[in-house]
Amino acid sequence: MLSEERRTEQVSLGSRASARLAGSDIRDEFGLETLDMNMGPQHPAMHGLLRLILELDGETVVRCDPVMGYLHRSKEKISENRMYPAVVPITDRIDYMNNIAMEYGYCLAVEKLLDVEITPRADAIRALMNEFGRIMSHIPSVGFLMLELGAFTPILYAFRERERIQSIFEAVTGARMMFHYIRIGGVKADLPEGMPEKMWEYIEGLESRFDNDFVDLIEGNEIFRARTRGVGKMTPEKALEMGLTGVPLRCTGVPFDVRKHYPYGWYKNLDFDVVTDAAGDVEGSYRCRIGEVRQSIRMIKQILENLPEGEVMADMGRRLRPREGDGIGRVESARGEYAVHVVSDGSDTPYRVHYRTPCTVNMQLLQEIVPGHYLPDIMPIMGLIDPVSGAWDK
Amino acid sequence: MPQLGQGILKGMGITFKHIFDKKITRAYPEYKRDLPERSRGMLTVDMDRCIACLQCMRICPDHCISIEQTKRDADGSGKPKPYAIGFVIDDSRCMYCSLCVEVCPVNCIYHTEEFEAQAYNRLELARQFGERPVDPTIDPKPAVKKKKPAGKAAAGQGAEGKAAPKKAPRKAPNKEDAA
Repeated sequence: MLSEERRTEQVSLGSRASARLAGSDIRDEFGLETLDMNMGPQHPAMHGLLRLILELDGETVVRCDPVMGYLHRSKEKISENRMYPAVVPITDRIDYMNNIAMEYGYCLAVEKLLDVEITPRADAIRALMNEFGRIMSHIPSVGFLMLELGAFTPILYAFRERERIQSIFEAVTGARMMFHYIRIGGVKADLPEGMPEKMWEYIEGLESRFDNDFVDLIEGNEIFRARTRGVGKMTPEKALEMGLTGVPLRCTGVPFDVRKHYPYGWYKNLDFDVVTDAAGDVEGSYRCRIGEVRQSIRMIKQILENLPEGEVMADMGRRLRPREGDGIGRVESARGEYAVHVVSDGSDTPYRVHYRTPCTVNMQLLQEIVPGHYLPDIMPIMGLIDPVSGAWDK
Repeated sequence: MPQLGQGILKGMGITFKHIFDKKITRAYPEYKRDLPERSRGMLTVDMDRCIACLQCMRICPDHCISIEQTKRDADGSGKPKPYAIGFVIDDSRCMYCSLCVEVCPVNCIYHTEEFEAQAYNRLELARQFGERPVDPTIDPKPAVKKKKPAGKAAAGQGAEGKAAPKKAPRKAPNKEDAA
């Protein structure tokens, strides 16, 4: 909950709302108090299953408490009862919009315990597919934001691109969503014949389509600007205090990116910028996502230009028995910093697996930022966080 | 200073251009696109090649494969070898992770291009491949062996039978202490 000092900091509210935020009991001239209302869990704009307990003063939100847990599937406990390689398909189902990063984090953690060295080609393919996964997640995110603001066309264009990238993934991994491609020690299989050329062709087409169709459709639209500019405004200090990562942090101007600051895999060899935006509101987060898609396109081109040759799987025994101890894998998923902590007791199965998903942490933003906004501003703020139900509940 | 409404008009121009684009929607049940080579569909088994090594059953994370194993002299060499007399794949559990396909030493279990599984009953989704049907509702023995401290392991093996009498003496001294 908000502390007393921070409650009184809230400005530009109606007198009743600010009085309620200051903690006093309020009644208007008709003897009416504020209204408690539930938003969700079954709500089209709640990115899955999320219930918000709202306290409303007219149309102004005074209090917003998110209730999580409607999609809890006990991923951490299930992971304890499976052999190490069999946990990878479970991680796919955590963040179902950006699955490949979820596999990547778990495999990095277990590889630290096994002390295996990943071949350069496997590392490059991992980074390549990870960046495709980021594009596949960011473009629909912007589309969903527009959909919740009432614009239907961008989501169609977004899903057209997502479908095309899914077809690439299907040819490489064999599945359209639950890839199970990154394995402990490398990747499942090498890229199919002629795939790098197809990817290059696609990414060049995407570059022009993205700028001419998708961005032009949204950018400069007056309704979009009116609904997003200044909404969900926060300072970098507040964002750091809440422990935000990913786009919600970078849109306030803090240039933190795990790929840049704690480079893993092939990202050491890549040249890219950390996209930030000084605005710190929903419009800034939109610009960050658009910029990150452009950086991903740049990275994919760099990887495809000099793709190393060689094996894609490290030489390991069939039965994986990591040494006793613990390993942490940190990756930058499309939503922020995703980390997996694996504790091993030397047996076939992990002793404990913890998934630190960015959505759970970024969700705090709702409690802190939403009070003081109008009720319809919750949708753009959800678009700023861009959570995924599977990721915050695990 | 751009005029108000210009951005909306620009967006409308883009959508107008797209009216003349080629249609990308496919009428799914009538038209089916070709699946890529690596596509992971429903599993199938070539029983002639199966050597009943049980590796697929052990690795399956969802316990969807059950095999009943016997010894039989199938090739007439006079030496009985392991033989899978019953083999069931329960599609209601399978998550198409492909671990069993990768582990099979004789490549007898593989993915087909079929992906449309539907039934009125869960049991109908269990497909039998062997001579003798296997009950898919019974879990095959899990292969996972947890390393546990000696005391805990003994308690775990006892299941229901031993758990009850063990608790009783532990409670008694506590009561005396409290009294």
